[in-house]
Amino acid sequence: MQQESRKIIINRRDQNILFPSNAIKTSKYNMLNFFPKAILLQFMRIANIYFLVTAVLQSMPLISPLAPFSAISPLVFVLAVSLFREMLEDYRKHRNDDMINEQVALLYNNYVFQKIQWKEIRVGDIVQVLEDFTIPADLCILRTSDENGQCFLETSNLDGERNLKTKYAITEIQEQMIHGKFSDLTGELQCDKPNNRIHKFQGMLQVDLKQYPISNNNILLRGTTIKNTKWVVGLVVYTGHDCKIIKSQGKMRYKSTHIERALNIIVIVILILQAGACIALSFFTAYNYNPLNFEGKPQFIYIYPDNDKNGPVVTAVISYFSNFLLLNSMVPISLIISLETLKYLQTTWMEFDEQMQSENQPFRVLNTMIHEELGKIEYVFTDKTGTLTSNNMEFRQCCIKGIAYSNEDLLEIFKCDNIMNDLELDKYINFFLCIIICHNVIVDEKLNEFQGSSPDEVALVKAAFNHGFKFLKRTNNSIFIKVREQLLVYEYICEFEFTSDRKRMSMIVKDMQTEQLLLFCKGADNIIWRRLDMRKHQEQELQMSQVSLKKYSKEGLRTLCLTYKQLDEIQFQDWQKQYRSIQNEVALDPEAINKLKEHESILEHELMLLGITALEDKLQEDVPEVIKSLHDAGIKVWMLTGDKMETAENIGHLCHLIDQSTKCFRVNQEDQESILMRFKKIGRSIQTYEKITKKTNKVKKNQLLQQQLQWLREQSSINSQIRSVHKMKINQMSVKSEGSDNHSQKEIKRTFALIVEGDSIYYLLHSKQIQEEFLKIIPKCRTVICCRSTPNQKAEIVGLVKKNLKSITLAIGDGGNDVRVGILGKEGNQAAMNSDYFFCQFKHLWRLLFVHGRWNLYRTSYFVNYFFFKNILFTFQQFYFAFFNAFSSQSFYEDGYLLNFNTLITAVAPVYYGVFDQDLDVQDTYIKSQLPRVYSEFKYHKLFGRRAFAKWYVSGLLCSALVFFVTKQIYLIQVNSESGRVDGLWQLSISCYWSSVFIVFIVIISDSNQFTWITFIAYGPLSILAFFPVFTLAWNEFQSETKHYAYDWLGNAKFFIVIILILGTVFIFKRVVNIWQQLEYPTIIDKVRKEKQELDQVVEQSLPPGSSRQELSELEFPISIENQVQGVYNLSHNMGQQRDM
Amino acid sequence: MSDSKGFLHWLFFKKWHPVPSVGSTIALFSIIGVIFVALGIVITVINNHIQEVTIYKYDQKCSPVEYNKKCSFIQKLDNMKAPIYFYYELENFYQNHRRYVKSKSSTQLSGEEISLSDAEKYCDPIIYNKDLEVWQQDVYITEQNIPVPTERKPDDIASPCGLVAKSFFNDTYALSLSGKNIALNQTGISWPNDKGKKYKRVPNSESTQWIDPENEHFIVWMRTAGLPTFRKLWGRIEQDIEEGDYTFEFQNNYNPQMFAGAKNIVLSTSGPFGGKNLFLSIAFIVVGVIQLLIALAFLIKKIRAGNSFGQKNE
Repeated sequence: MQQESRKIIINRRDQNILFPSNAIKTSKYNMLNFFPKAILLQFMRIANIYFLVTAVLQSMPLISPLAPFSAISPLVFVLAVSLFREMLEDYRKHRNDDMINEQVALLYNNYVFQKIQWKEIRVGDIVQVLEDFTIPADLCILRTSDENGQCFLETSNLDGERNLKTKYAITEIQEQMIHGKFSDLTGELQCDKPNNRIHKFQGMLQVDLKQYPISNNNILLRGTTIKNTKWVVGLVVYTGHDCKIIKSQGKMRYKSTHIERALNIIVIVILILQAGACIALSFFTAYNYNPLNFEGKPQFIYIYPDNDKNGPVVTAVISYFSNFLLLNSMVPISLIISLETLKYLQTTWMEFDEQMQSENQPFRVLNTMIHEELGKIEYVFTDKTGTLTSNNMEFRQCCIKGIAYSNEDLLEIFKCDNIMNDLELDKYINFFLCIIICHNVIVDEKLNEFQGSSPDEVALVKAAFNHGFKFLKRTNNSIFIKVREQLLVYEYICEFEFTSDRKRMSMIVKDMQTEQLLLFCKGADNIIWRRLDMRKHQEQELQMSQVSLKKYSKEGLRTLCLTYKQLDEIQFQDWQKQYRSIQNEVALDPEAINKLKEHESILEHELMLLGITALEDKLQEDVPEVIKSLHDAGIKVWMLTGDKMETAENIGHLCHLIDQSTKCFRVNQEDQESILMRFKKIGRSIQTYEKITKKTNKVKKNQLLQQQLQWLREQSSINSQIRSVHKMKINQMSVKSEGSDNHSQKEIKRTFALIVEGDSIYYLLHSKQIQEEFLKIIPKCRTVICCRSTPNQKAEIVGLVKKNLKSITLAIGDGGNDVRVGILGKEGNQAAMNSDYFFCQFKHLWRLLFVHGRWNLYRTSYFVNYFFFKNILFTFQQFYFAFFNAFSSQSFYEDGYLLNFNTLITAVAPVYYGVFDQDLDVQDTYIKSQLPRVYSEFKYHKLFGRRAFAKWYVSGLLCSALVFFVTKQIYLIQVNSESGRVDGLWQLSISCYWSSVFIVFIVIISDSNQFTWITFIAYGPLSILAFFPVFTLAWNEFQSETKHYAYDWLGNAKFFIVIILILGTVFIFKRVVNIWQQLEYPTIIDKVRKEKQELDQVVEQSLPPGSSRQELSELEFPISIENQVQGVYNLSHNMGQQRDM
Repeated sequence: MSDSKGFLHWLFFKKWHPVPSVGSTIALFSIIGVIFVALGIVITVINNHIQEVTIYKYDQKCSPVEYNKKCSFIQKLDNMKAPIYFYYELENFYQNHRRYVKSKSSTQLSGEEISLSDAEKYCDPIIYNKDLEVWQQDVYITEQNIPVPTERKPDDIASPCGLVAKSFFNDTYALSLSGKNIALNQTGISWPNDKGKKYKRVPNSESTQWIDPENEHFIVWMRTAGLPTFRKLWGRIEQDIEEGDYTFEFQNNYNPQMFAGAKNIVLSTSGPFGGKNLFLSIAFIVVGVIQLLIALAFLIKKIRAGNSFGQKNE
């Protein structure tokens, strides 16, 4: 951390020259340095260095078995693509930079404001910004068009918040500038070094030997926009890259996925294998040089000249490198590029999905590299407010002086007129005064609505408005309100803002009517309760209030306690004096901030309770449904919230985090020992529960089987309406399928939930022993709720789980994680902008995980496996061929064919599969309901790992051996037609090549799960037809070695018959393995498909003649999840009724 | 997904989810199996009609074994139907060796002059006339494969240069039955696309080249073989031959000790799938039978298990 501060001399450019200009530069290159710099940057990547080494080796005729172009061209291709991309990106950045830098600003110079470009602005300048213009640099407000020095600001560029914020000029300076001139302003501003804290600013403005503390309220940040204010004049504090908006732009952290990690290990293993193969081959070369005579005379005198200088050793070394080049594709370096392309396309395709968007709010993918992680999530951490709930607050109830009122009750009360004189109503009035005075809401005059960063406050002010207490305006030092028709003015003195640590906010005002100093304070009940003046309250009132508080939190309402206090004028002035001096101190030394806070809290004591407000934050659409699905998929869901335990638990019920079968364990002890004991006890009881459940289920299972048999017998005689058949069939199936997965609803299932409260969390994070116990328990707990946790604690909890359980986690809301999902909401979009994915509603998580996540996981896994398969199939033939060419490292394939195998011929099909294949039809209602069950499979059944990879690797080996040896055996004598002519090496090679290409196609086609017309195009014209005739015939014209040879092969029946034989063999092998796996070791996907088929059959059979399937689709499927959701909504409705009673 | 039911919608959303079922597998395997077995039988029949006679190590049949000499031996042959192809076969000759395959200049063979640097690049280590075999240095072999003595400078670029050309197989054969010569047609033994296109003589071929590149034996030799034991077509007998003792007369030039192997003569007829090869027919029959057996196994299992085949009952 830099301790030094920045000192700015006002209006003196010559003394501020050390600061950077206001121009920003995001571009990396210019015309001159583009080529050297871009190429240098490209070679910082390992893959490109590997390419380069290969290319260099390949261009040495002594070593290279291939023409040099076959190595140089991929390098050139990759570089060209990368450079082109860089160039486009940089060009765009240049244009962007220019557009920003050349915007017009108004600079104060010689008594007038002149037009200049943004990039010419310097630190210490005085600039003017007009309404609806963007702030060009971080400014300290000197004067605004408003006589009170107010201005309004929209900060959506900075944090995505649309509401207006109020900023103020320093009153004294504002006064001074109304009369004086800016050119007379001399002095300096001392402030922090440039930093990225967008909500923090500390500085000290010294003008004419007077000092004024500057806080965040006096600062306009670059990128924000002036609204509802004609103009603002400010002093430039930070410019260009020092601006907070630019400093706070986070860099995307690179995250590696489990597939990439596994891939790295596999690549290393294969590299070792490859090196082994090369060494073995080069040894054979040396041996073959002359098996009998090691003195160095070559064996093949028709090949080596008599005076061959190299001898066996040098020949072997050369052979090592030649073989290295030939077996190069065992680790397909093009995999890296292909994977990047694949993921880019996956991203595009995901973003296209209309079902991920709602109300025209976008779904965006900000990190394109981690899609497959979405298919393997084990823990989901979710925020509550704005994530599970819609953050759309509504004032529901309140409790004033211990008496509870609903919103409707209040309307009744305020029906009578002239309330200001009615003493009995005094308590109501203070209650509402607190609401409309102590807040940060502003009135947008144009739209005529309340706006604020806290939805709670907006909801409260709105509610007060409905009851006749109108908040009109807040200026720099006064607050105007209107109670009924009476205008009241309060002088604003100071405010202690709300932070997540303090959990309260206070405001000190002076009633201009009675000259009385008042402190209004509102905050969380546990904080406020400690600060109440117990003597002045009636005990009954406090008790009643507590009862209401409990009731509210049980209903899942958000509560706030409102208090006030009358201040003594003289005491307050003492206090204020000290406060000012501490403020000055803080300006110089940011460490002193705690002192300031302590001093603030001195006043927040002996408060009088005015009442309690209860707001309802409605759950978002489909939240319980999604959470139930997450649980069904075996995903553990954690809710991290700042709410009280009761509120949190209730929300847990509402969101289906906790249901009837859940055993809740609560941890709210407050000392280390008892927390440890508590965790140990929980661990023991979970074990006991599990044992009991197992025993009962065994008994139950037997009964169930009997029931099923009975039911099946009955069912055969029943031929009733479709609907009932439907229902029973599905019931039967769900019993059957879930029975095997231990999910049956009829069985006893026990799930566990852990609810931990704030103080316990502290110990949890700080005591090793407790952590150990905790980590033992949590894998068994389906739900964990952490209440009363601070944002910092939330992040630490996520870190704890991630580090110790080595699971893939997803955090929705905010917080750092494997996968971060942001939700666009009311509380600011900063978090969303830093996330990996963001969308606007919690319910989209369902599709993101169960549809896109799962798809992308199996697609990417398949893609990687398949990529290795085809390269092994292709490359190993080179290895076998070495045994028939005296280990001379002759390439089995001709250069052009070798080069285009990966890059052209077999490139499209796997990418198509990797982006578009769908293993289940997720539009189907039944399959949709089973997706969570299917999702859970990938946790155990690894799609990409050592086992799966070994399977593919071995099949690659088998196929390559089949292709090579069968072809070789058939072409032992290369007389292939009636003409008796003999063909040569390239005919053998091409035959193998054709077989390999078609095996590659046939494998992917038989593994494709879905066919659309696009599939046919991708596999037909873009793959098979692109190979033959297009590539084959085109290449036939270019290649010197085999020029026009293709005509000889293509006119030959045997050529095709051999390929048919090999393909037929591979096809039956593949088909038998697939069918065998499907029948004997069915995956959950297979089961779901089977069930779906059976379901369709039942529906078909029971259709009355003449009716079509169309009608049927209109029938509701009885098992749809909606039913369960309705149950939950009913629950909340019931609660509403209770409330009303 | 959307309400639009246009062409694009149909293109993207008309889907098939084929799930391989037991029934379709049985059907598919039966059909393919039958086809494969049938093909196998057809190929076997064709194969059985092909006659093939191999005379192993024919150079050893003269005694003493001397090279660059004429020699003859008598071999009994059965009846054979025309056309009968006359092949020579080399064992353990690596025409697919990396250095060997590379060592030729396609430009030069197609009738163009090449520079010294090109010759060094493509033909290493056989660049100059002096690098050729001794017998090749002062001879011009015509298109009809007749060597004519010629003078050439040893330091000129050899044409054709390279290892493949240098190792040109130069035995010649004649066949007779009781003094009556049997014609061996040596034209049309190379591929139509080679002669005159990829292999073309230069205008003053006799003085600059040591062999006419349009010599068909040369073209046949230049198409390098894929495996170390290979056949090359030498001539065609265009008449049926009867049973009898035939005299094989040959110019014994090529020494098999050079490649530590052997040279054989093969007389063979041909079918639509070329020469005799049992492997192809056996492979088809084996694969076909396996498919049929699998289909049968599935069928039996399906009948036995009834409808619930494939569902694992616990």
